[in-house]
Amino acid sequence: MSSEFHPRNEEEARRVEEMKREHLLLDHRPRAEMNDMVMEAVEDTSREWKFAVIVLGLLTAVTLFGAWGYMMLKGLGLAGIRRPVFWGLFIVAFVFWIGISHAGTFVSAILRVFKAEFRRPFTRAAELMTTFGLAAAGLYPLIHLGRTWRFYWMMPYPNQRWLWPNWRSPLLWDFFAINTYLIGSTLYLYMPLIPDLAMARDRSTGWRKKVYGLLALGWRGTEQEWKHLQKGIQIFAWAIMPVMFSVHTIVSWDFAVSMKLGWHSTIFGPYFIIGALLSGIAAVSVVLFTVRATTKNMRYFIRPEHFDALGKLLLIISLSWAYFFFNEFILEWYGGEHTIKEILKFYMFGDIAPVWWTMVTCNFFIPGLLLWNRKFRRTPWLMFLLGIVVNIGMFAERYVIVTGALSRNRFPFDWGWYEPRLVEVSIVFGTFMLFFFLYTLAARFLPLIPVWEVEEGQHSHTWRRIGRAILPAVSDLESLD
Amino acid sequence: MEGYQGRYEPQMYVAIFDDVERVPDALDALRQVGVTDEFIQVQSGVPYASSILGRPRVFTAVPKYGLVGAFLGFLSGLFFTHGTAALYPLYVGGFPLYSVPPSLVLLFELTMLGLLVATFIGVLVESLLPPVVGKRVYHPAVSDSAIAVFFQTSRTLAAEARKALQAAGAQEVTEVEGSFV
Repeated sequence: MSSEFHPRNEEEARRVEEMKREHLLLDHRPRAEMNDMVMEAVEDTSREWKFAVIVLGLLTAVTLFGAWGYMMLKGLGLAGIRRPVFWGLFIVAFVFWIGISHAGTFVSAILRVFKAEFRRPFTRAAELMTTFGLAAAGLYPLIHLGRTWRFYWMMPYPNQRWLWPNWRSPLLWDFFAINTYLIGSTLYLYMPLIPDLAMARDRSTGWRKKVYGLLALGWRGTEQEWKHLQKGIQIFAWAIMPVMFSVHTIVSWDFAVSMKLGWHSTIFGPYFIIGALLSGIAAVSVVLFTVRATTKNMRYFIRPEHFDALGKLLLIISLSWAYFFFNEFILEWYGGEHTIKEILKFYMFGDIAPVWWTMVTCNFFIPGLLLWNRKFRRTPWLMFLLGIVVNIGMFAERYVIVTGALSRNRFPFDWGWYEPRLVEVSIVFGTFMLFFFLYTLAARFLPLIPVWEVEEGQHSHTWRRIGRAILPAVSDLESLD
Repeated sequence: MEGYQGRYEPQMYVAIFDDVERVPDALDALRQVGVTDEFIQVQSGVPYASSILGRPRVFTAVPKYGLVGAFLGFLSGLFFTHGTAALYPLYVGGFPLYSVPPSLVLLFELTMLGLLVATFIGVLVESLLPPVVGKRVYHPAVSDSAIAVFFQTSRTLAAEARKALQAAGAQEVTEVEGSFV
């Protein structure tokens, strides 16, 4: 497909060059060159990378599995959860990781449905976050169980113990929702990966060729294969969205279906979803910056325009979060219920106030003030820092909801205070290490950039001259049959 | 005698193009030589719609797999929420044995799980992936954005087809081993 554009004069040539620098999809390069760039990044297992993998692996082994094993040996009493705060850092981290996992699907599925072209180079990097975020989240129900080895008691099969899962419990809904989402999002990650695995198969040797060949399933790129794959991706993009929404809604119902004041709120479902999107999109900017800074050739694929687009999304989601937060807060406040007022006072002025104010500042004030600025949005390292700040804010939000609400109950004799213990902090830190460990490994095994999608996008983009102006023009190739 | 038969035995060829703009004309040229669409297969590194290539529309049954999967998922949800309650009745504090509202969550999740898994299976089955037997035609240049036009014809027509494809802009036309599926 020819996308050549012939500038009429120097000014036009300068303008075209400017636009090429700005937009990846206008900066056409031969596919073979893009393939080389991606494969060079994948095969770059430098000493620094190996060192990072070993350190992350060791930290995961010691801080996550070591601490978890120690806790299993000594008992759940090692954790700081006590009456009345029975849910602590484990549940906070569980909700946090589920939230992180929402970004991949959001960025990939919703932007795909709306045909937002800027999504093309970073959908896979975001989808990987979903899979690894869910892997981290999935550990927490097991950790929180204490006696993890009794997990099979939840399985529905006739047994001598007369134990039967309660299908009406949100905890069991969690199990099904998370597994549906994990399976769905992993398949959604895998399907568009198949053509890139075939590309990797054609360009590698040794064990990599064998593994890529196995994973590419004999993909050849026939008309039939493309048609079925595209239809499959299309169905997934639509179907995974309600699943994504259901997962965090059900996580919110773990709290909201109880009669606990501060939790029993009809707005909890959408409030949790918007929070998940906020932390997830912020995490995408963190991951994109890290990938761009540490992986070869990624500066060509991931550009300021992508951070700019993510920044705009983040701003909208941050404002939406503030809207839901205010809705939840103000209605409870005006309800005038005595215990609720105690809880809200505890949030704003009590011992937990620093965490509550961190939440409001990091989730609303900071992004709300900074993201209006185009220059800020287009500066990758600033977006990286903001991503971390927002995630601190979202962790604080979950901490307040989980431990803060449980600290204040109807009767003062049932008030309490929660302090996380070393074993909990270690396990939570360990799941962060696990996430980074898995991501670092995947970044050197899977093509992080969906090259065929980028090329398809480049085919769709060209220039158009209107009067004396030159503009990018996009053809909707995806809708052709 | 053997050589005479060989001339009419169908043989597989591949023509490589570097620009998709040339492919529709090349396919027309092949048809004029006498190679019909069912003996042609186009492979590419990016998806090109049938209307771009001027090829017959490809039908996909993948949505049907999804629907069947969703239905099976719904049935399994029904079994878990209502079937197991009937098989192992457990009356608790006056609560009904069957309760619709809380069942909806599980029904939804399992319906969606069925839909997603069956769609994935549909993509694989319809695309005949992974290949089970035999050697299928493929050209590695496809992953570098070349467009490979595989066609099957007799050796007698091959020379004419080769000439037509080269005139249409094919970079190379070679004989290959293997089958379409």
